[in-house]
Amino acid sequence: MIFPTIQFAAFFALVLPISWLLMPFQRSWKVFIIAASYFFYGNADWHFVFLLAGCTVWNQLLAVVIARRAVADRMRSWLLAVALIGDLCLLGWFKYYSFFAGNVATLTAKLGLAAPLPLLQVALPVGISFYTFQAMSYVIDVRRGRSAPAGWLDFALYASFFPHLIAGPIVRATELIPQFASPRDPGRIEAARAFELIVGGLIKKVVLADTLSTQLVDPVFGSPAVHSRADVIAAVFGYAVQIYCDFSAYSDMAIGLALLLGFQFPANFNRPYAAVTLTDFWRRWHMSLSRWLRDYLYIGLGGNRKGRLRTYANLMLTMLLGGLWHGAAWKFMLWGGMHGSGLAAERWVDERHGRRGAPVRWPVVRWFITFMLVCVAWVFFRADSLDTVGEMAQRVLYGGGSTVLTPALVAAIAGGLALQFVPEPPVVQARLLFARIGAVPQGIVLASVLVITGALVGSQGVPPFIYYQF
Amino acid sequence: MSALPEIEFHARSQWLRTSRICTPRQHVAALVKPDTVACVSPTTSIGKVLLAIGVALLLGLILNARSIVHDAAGMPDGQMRDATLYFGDKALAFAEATHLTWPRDEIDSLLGNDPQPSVPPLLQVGAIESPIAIDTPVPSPTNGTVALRVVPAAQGNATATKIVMESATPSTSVEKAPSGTSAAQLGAPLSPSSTPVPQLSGTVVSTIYRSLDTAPTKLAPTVTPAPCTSSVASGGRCGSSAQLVQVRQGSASCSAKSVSAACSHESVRAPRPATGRARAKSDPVRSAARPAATATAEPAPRKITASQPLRLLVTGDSLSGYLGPELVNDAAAVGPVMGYVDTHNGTGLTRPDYVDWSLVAQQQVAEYHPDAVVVIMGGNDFQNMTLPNGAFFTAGTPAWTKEYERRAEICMRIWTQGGTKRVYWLSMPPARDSDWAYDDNQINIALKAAAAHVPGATYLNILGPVTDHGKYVDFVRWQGQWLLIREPDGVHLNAEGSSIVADEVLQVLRHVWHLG
Repeated sequence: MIFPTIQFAAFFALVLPISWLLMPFQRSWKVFIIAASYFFYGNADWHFVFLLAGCTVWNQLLAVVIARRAVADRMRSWLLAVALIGDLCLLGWFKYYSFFAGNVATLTAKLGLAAPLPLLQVALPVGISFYTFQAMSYVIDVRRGRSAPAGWLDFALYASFFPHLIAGPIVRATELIPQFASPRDPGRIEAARAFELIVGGLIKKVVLADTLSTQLVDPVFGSPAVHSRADVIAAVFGYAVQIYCDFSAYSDMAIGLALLLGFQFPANFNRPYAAVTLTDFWRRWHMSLSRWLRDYLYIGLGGNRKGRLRTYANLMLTMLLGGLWHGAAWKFMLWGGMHGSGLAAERWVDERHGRRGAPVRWPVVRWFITFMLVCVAWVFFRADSLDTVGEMAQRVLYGGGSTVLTPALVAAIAGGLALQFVPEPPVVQARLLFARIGAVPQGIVLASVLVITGALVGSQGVPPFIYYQF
Repeated sequence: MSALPEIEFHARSQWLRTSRICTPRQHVAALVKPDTVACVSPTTSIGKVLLAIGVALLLGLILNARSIVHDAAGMPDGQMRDATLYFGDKALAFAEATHLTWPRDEIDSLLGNDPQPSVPPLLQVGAIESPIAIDTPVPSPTNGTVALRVVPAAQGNATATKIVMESATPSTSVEKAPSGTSAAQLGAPLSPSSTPVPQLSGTVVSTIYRSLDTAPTKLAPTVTPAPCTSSVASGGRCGSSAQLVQVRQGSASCSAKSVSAACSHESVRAPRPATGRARAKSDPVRSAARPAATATAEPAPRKITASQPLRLLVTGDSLSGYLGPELVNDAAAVGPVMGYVDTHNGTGLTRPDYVDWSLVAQQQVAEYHPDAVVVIMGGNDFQNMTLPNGAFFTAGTPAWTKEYERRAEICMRIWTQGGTKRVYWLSMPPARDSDWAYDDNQINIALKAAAAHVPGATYLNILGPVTDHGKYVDFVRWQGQWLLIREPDGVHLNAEGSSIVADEVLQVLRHVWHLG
């Protein structure tokens, strides 16, 4: 079930009023939302419901044991390791086994040996990368003493809460579970902001991301040999806009839906293409993952406390693993490596010139360089193979081919980039205005958006979000 | 990690300071450093929220009713489809009565979203004899106009069905194995006098199927008995004996009564074969061992030059999503090719009420003027089919296969433009699910049979390199590498699998069109 569908609209229209009716009865409300979330998750493939339940029980069990006073400190570390190994095995089996077995088989075939591992296609459960990371952060926080273990119902609800279940944001237990402690106030719902996020997400997804995907990015990345230089260049920028609009649309809708249910999620994007350095970019792009990687991986590796070289190595390793998190393919590692080396290089230059922490000089130039680096890295992220990257580079150098560029596509790219620089006051003013017009006019405005986006979607339906596959 | 520090708190403008309304950036900061954010967001009560959502959904349902009903038609059979259709129909009736369909109609009109006819042409056509209008008449070997009709099989115990190609010149008969015949049997040559002329030379055929372990098998056109209940109205219109395909069980012929009974809704519903294992007896690789089969000789392909490149269209359902760009790209690398990819996700031949592929084909011909069309579809066709007269075909049954063949043939005729253009319809790779794999096999039987009737149409078996002797596999060894070739859904080929298929098809295109 994906957000912008009739099925989800029917599901949410049913869940929302029941949720608020049950809100005063906390236990019943939690059971209901957990059931609804499992239904939401099992709608795609009910088998994976057991996986989610298993992951929940495993992590909660170990968190509870870790938090016991009687358990020795050393034993707690072992228990944490057991919990994390369990989570990583789950992730490794479902997400990386096929990739690993295929590569090993190719290697052994070159040596004239039989494949040592069974060649199996393991179906990837939707959202597994997100909920395992959330569960891991919870157990680590309990071990570090940053939070006490939650109740079973609370943790089950935290792990399965449907707005963030499939593609984030990666919400921490310390951010969400305290919100379950008391009933939400039915008189203080940030509806205007929620509708703004949902409608904005819908428009970003349907109008910008899907248009660019179907009319420019997919054709060009699929067949660079038949496209012109202008097409290829436009597709590179187009993909940057597409992936931002697609992923941030999902995050926005998730945050908006949670707001309607009375809960706050952390933001996931903050105008990433306005970043003036790569460091700045990672403060703005997929922020919930960046924070996770920083707090649970980079700092765990020693961060910047173990010397300059080790800092660079930690940066590189963090970004490589961050790349691998996106999927079992060498291209994601390459993408992560590009960002890791970029971050390390940026840090080295700043340190060499004694400008670490100082305001960025020549911001426009730095912005341009950063944006170009990010876009080039996206090419490796999106392309099916290095051959495709080579063909695209060849097209950029030598031109030729027909064009699919239209004014509408150029406008979509420009619009997506312009979103990064929209001044804030008009946005806030529009939200205030929307909040004041009353419920029925609000409904009419929302219905108008549904009609327009419905017509834009057409009979092809809404393609899945890019981050569903991660 | 100092490279990824906490979110910075940005200074606010004077206007925002006085308004105390949270800016988007403050919302970003609010959860990271809640103490630093001193702003509020407008709030409202749940009652008003529910009212706004209720108005939006109700109005959205009414205003979008037509498209909701249309989209529901494309859903797989089930409660969700029934429920959506139920509410959609109610909303549409209300919208039409109150003229509330116009906003969406106007927007659709502006966007060029043409409404689909209430009865799709693919369903309006009662039989093969009256296909969708084709600009160019189909030439017979002597330039006569051809109309095809299915007639009852020969008398007595004969079990083969016969398709008569009527033309201004003496007719040519094509004997065809009956519905229910195994795939291997369909691989058998047709009657010697009318064996379709393969378009491709033996060299190409061997190239295409170099990875097949099993050589094409020539089997006598023997008959697999089918129960009387399998009698079908192949053209979809009952009452016309010319359109009935009579199938006999054993030596006992079905009576006229039983054939007539087949026209009722229930009796047309043939029992679906019970198990995947039983179904698997037919070998899809063998079944399609002849890649090119045309009913008549067609004009040679035009000469491809740099100034007049090959106009290549790759189309189909989502299966063409990876294949199309790959094939177009590869073809453009070896010769003058103008490539187009037109993928229609979630569509197929079983649900013309959702997307009618005869209309799509006509639009493609008008828009792209393709010299060659490569088609792959069937991933959504594990569905029953219903005709406007109520005739119902259970997926995978011989009757269903026959109806599928009829629909495929109509589309082929549109794309081939009377034999002047070429269609290469690729076999459907078997799905992981054994029931679906059986249906895929039936689709391949239908496609092969349809291609045999249409000048310019070629059925290309691409199963060899992406299956294990016709059976589903996830991994294949290709050029020394073990490649995962399937998507996790067990239906689609992934990028690697599509790339292998593209290689295979490209060799055919290179040979036929002298590319590279």
